[in-house]
Amino acid sequence: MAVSVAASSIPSLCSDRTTRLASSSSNLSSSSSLQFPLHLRRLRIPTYGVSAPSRPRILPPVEAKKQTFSNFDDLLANSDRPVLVDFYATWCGPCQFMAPILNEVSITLNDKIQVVKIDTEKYPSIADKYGIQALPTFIIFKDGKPYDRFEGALNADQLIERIETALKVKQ
Amino acid sequence: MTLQLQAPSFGATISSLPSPLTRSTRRFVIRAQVEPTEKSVEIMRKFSEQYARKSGTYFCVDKGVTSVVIKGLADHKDSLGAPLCPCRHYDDKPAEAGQGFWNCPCVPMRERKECHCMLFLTPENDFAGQDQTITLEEIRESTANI
Repeated sequence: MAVSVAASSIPSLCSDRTTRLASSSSNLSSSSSLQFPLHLRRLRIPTYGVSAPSRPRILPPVEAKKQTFSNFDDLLANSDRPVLVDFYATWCGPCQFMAPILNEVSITLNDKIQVVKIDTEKYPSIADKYGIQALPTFIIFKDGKPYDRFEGALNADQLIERIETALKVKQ
Repeated sequence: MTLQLQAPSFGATISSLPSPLTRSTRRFVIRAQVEPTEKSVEIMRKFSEQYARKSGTYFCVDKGVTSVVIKGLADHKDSLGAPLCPCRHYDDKPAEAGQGFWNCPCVPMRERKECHCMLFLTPENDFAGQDQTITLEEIRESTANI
């Protein structure tokens, strides 16, 4: 699935249908009247098997609640907190590396920020709109607008520090 | 995603109508193509080992990262004919593959040993491990859940 919300406090709004939508064509504008529901999948913690770095898994798994938004702008507009968006691709190594870290961070900073992942291959128009090039790219949205932006993998502490710095500066 | 009808040597059967008269032992599986071919994975695995040695770089401590990137390169090799960098977003993938800047080993890697995929890491890099080798088994295990 393309978009997932990793926050346990958001109530489930959509049905259990797991219909997928094909990626939108490049001329689909997210602000037009054409709407496509984004079905969000559950966030699961990937394990790398025996080759994973030894880090004790003391955190409970986070089940992302499924939510349907008419488009990405809707998600940004309706969020009560700043949103951290992770633009990723399935076969991007650092993106997969970041998955458990994002999970951990979304639990730690649950009340401060909402974490969303966008598969750039399924939603290329959104990736194009924000000029995504290298993966992973993280954008912190405040009030629906990009506030901070950085690329590449980082560890949990660095990510938390970056988020908190961005959140500290209020208008 | 393309759907592929395959008759593999492994995999689950989706229909098994008991028919004592049927001699055929072929099993058909319909599989959505999200996995690169074994052949391409092996080619890119060999390439990665060879290039790491040649460039004096090392694989990531977390071999999962290495595995995912190798599969990503194999996937692009299958679909585009060239191992386009899997850690980038492109407007036009076939054009990029034809142009060549981002074909592995990409220009930033060749010129400055910069690999943002974390496939080839210089020894000073925090994430660099000790290995310049990776087995097909390691790749399979690390990416089993993707």
